[in-house]
Amino acid sequence: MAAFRDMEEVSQGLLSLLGANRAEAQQREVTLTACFTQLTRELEELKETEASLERQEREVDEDTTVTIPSAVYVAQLYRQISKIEWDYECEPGMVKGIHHGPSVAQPVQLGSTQLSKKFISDYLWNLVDTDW
Amino acid sequence: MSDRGREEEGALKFEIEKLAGLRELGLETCCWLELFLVLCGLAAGLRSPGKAFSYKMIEDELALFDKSINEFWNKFKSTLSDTSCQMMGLRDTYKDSIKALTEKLSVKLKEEERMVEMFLEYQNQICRRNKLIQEKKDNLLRLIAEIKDKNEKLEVLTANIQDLKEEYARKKETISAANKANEEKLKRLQKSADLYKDRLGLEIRKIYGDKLQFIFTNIDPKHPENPFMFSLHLNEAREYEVSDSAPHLECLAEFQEKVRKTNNFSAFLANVRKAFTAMVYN
Repeated sequence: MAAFRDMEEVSQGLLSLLGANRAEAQQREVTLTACFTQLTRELEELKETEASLERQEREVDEDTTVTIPSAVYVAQLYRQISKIEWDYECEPGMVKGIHHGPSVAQPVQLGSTQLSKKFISDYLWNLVDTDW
Repeated sequence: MSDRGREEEGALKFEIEKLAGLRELGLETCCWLELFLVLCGLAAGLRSPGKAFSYKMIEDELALFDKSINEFWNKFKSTLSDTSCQMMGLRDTYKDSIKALTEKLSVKLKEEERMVEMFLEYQNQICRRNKLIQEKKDNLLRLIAEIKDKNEKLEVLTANIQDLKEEYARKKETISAANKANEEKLKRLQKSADLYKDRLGLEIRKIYGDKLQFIFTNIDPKHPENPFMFSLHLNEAREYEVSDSAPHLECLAEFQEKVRKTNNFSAFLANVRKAFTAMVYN
């Protein structure tokens, strides 16, 4: 009988030990699941960041491949038409540059504050050769 | 004495000696056996003439013998009866003992049965407990495996997230730098275009249908802001094609032919402007 009692005690002990282990394991699982959830959230945020970055990249690409070349083309066109190169560093209120004529290059210098816009335009266009 | 008498005497003597040999009787054989022997001797004496013998003596002896016999018989009976009583007593005692033993044994047998039952019960319990323990053990192992798996996934996820964060930080920098560079470039280009536009009084616009629109201002002295425009595009033959002039210019078609021939776009525009200006002055 004593042997039976001993065996019963041992089995109870084992069960409670298993129970304790299980509780601990479940606790760890809860903690891990919480970490998991948080990291999943971070991943979602990163995905959003990725989408945002892709958008920005596309914008930059558009600028690089379309907007800027367009602007460059326009600037070049103006340059080609007028044959005038501006001095961008001159003091404000001055129209300063160089006109590249068919044979000579001619400096351009006008004070825009005292002259009308029409005058300036006419002057500049007069530099452009009308000969075909 | 006759032969027959002698025979009887001899037989009697033989019987008496046999009795004497039976020690189990435990009787006081001395007196009456001796008496018998005496009697036999007396009887022999009677038969032999010449011996002085009293018939009265024999009677007395016989009575004495009778008495002895009776005493012996009574004693024998009572001894037997005592023995018999003892036997009965022993038998009863034996029966009681047997009964007591049977009861004890029965109790013991019942105890043994109970023990066997309890043993089987315990065996069952142990079996069930073992199964339960095994189940719990399996569950626990599975749980631990799941946790381990989650841990690994967690590590992988953490590493991935870290990598992505770094990658995106790098990308952000790159994009930011490129954007800044583009902005500056665009700013410069815009500034340049603005200067041309303002000073020349000419706006060049891209419009639908792959066309460029040229808008002159500073033409009309009275209304410098009034626009004088036309559209231009390259047709399938890659030739200049003008259209939509506002106000309408007659010479535009001529200019178109000239520019197609000479490709001198600069002169073309200068002449168009001149024509617009002339139109105003007229």
